[in-house]
Amino acid sequence: MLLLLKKIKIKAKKIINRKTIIRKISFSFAFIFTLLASNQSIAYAASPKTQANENQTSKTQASKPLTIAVEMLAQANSEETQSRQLIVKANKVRKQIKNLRAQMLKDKSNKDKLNKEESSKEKSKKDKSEHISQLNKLLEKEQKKGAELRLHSKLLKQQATVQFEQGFIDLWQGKIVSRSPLTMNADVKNYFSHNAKIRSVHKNKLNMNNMEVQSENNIPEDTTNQSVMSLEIPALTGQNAPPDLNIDAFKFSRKEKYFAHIEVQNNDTEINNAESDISKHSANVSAVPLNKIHQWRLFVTDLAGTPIEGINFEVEGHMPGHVHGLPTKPRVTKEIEPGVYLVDGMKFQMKGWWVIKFILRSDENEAENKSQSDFFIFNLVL
Amino acid sequence: MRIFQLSALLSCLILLSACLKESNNNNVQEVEKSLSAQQLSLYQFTEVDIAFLEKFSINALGTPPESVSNHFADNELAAKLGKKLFFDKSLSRNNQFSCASCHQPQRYFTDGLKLSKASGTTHRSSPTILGAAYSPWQFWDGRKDSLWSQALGPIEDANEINTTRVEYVRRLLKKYPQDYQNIFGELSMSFLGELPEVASPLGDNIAQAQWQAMDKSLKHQVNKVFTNAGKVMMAYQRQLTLPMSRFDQFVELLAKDKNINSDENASSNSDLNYIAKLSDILTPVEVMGMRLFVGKANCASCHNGPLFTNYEFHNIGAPEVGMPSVELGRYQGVKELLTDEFSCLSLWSDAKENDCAEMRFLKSSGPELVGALKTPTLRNIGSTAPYMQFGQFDNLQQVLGHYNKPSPPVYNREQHPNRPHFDIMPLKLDAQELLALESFLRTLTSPLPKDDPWWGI
Ligand code: HEC
Ligand code: HEC
Repeated sequence: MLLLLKKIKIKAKKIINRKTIIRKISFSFAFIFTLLASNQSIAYAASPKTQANENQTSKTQASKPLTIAVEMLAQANSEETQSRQLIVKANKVRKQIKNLRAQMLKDKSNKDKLNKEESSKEKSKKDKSEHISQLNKLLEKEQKKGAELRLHSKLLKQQATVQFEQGFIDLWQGKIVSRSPLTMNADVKNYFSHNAKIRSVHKNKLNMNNMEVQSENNIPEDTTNQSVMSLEIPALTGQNAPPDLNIDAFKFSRKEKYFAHIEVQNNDTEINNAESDISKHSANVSAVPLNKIHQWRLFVTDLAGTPIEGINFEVEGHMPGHVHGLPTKPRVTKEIEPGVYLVDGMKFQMKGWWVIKFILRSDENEAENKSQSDFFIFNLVL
Repeated sequence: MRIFQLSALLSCLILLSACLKESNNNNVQEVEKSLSAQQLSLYQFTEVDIAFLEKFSINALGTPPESVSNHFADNELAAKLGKKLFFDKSLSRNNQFSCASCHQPQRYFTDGLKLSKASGTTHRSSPTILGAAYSPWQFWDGRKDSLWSQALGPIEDANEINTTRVEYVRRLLKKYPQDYQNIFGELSMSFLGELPEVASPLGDNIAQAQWQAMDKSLKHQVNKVFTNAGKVMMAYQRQLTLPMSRFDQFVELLAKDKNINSDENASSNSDLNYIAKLSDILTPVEVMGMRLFVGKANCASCHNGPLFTNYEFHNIGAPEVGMPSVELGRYQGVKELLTDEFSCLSLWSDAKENDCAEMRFLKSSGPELVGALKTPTLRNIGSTAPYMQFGQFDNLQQVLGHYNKPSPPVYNREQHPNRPHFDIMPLKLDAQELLALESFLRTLTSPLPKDDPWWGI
């Protein structure tokens, strides 16, 4: 009797252990994949069909990277669907296990009470625990596969973006001036921010040291640094962008029907006018000025690389963690050439994480309601 | 118990600052004796602290931003005529009012009243005009986009100078024909003979009828002179500067001596000497208040830069005063800007349309505009009571009381397009901290520049 109970306990423990192991495994998978991703060469090993085409990169086939990108995107989406299905399946299995366990517990307490039909009960218990361990194996397998697929699909999508970016560059033949994410020049300092939903004083003081020497993607850390500052300047919670935030200047639209690129429009006249102050553009073509109205260019094609003309855009912007949007109402003021839109009236009154949304209001969307329109989202960490 | 200790500390601080003021600077031992280690640390600033504080110094202000809509903004002759117009009561219909009636130089260009009084009583309180040249928007709700356009409002307003533009133009050209033509070129005055007694598109029924009856070119000539009057008054206001306040002197000394101070070899004697000098300018309580202002009290998130304002619009929930209509703030301000007769986009502006970016991309809707008002400057704040747009608060204690335990904005479903945003959080400061904060605010007052001709004291 006692022995049996012990056994069950041990099994239960094992189950728990196994769970953590699974977690560990999927973790290390994630790790390996991220390592691979940084190398930018993996990705679509899973789709050999397109791999064969990869080494044919020539100017005459400007659309090649686009074709590859579209295939990768399709593959990524199918993997994502599969992964979602696997996760649904896994959840079902988990429920089954839970039910079985509950039954075992119930059996046990019943048995304690009535103390009869011992042998048959024990037999069913044995069956159940065997069943559980089988299910656990299945769960493990499905979870692992689902996680792998999800990760792979995500990486594939990133690769697709990279491919598309290349196709885009070929397509616009020198018209794209900057491929980098939009930033603000490091010498532009802005200590002040306001209108925060949440304010905190001590927990994450603004680190002035980091404001002086900003890291590559300008994400200030949240550590305190009392030796550098004795003034206890409050920092805003929610002001820091997550470290894995996608700040690319190239993006698929939400519905993955279009592809777009943003960059800062540097007006020559403004550059020549050297007397203008801090907000003047520097050699850094991806830099937006602080507190100054300026312009962007927005390049848009469909997935075949055809520039899309005559889109009616609505421009929105906000800072996560703040209750305010952009201080101005920017809009597209002209289509410079087919598929290239001039966005005027952009202005940022603060450094930090901004989300800029271009909502497509083309004629076909007119009938749809606002929430159904396709859109592009660009994250900026200024 | 704790409060008792704190107040003991505080009175000690106050006494201390008094003795420091009297004490001889060189009397290092006395300083050492009277300043506890904790008090000494109040005066210890790192280089980054100092760089931060320098952003608030009047020395960092520079000249006002370039004006695209007024070519005479930095013309000295224009500024001189502008000064005359600003103070001249004889340009008003009843010879009683000028801009200076409500913007008095001795009161830092305010009037000390909750609501201003001239021909009638104004709807809001009169803010200072010091620093206004640095703001992209004028009035509490930002309903004007330049100082020249702003100046034209009070002239015709029935509660203010109450003088139609035709009357004003006639009086101006009769009194200052030479000054005017020196700036704007030769002008034939014959059109004055064709003008009706009173006329304005904004006046009472008679004035409006008369205005409608005038022919287009006559209207044009009147508006030309009228808007030029605004432009010279703008040029005048751009000349107003502020002498250094005690706060500015403190930061200047910090900045000057930061190298000496950070020198590790400096003897503790010279350190103490230095602190003695600093404490001659700001008392320990005031320094404590300064640290609170930029720190825990979070005032500097809106009141920042050399003028202690970001010139943006916020809703801090200052109480309504029970008027029939609620304060719609910037929400109403942008509406008026869009139809403003004298904006940057108007015929009377010197700017090309493309230069008026702020107007072209004006944010004309958004929930955060409702009830939001322009952050006012805190320069000379100790001398410009009462406070807020209706003078709701009589003194700084009341202001700080509000910030410490703010009432959220009133939500009136009939009048507000949406629930007003609320941009501040309770501070939970104790009585001593509030007192320190108030003491600091009083260090922002510049001495009245008696010899500065632009101030005209
Ligand atoms: C009857 C009193 C009165 C007179 C006369 C008067 N003002 Fe004012 N002024 C006010 C009030 C009240 C406000 C704020 C009104 C509001 O925001 O709704 C104001 C606002 C201003 C502002 C805006 C400041 C800011 O920070 O937004 C300026 C600039 C100004 N006045 C200049 C002038 C000039 C120039 C004249 C003369 C042509 C003048 N005022 C005449 C009462 C007056
Ligand atoms: C969210 C921005 C914001 C913050 C934070 C803020 N203020 Fe203000 N302050 C304003 C605005 C906007 C007004 C005008 C509101 C009104 O008239 O209703 C104002 C008005 C004032 C006035 C009255 C000015 C006058 O001329 O009438 C004083 C004094 C003042 N603030 C001090 C402070 C202090 C001290 C703190 C810190 C405890 C602080 N403020 C924090 C935005 C802010």
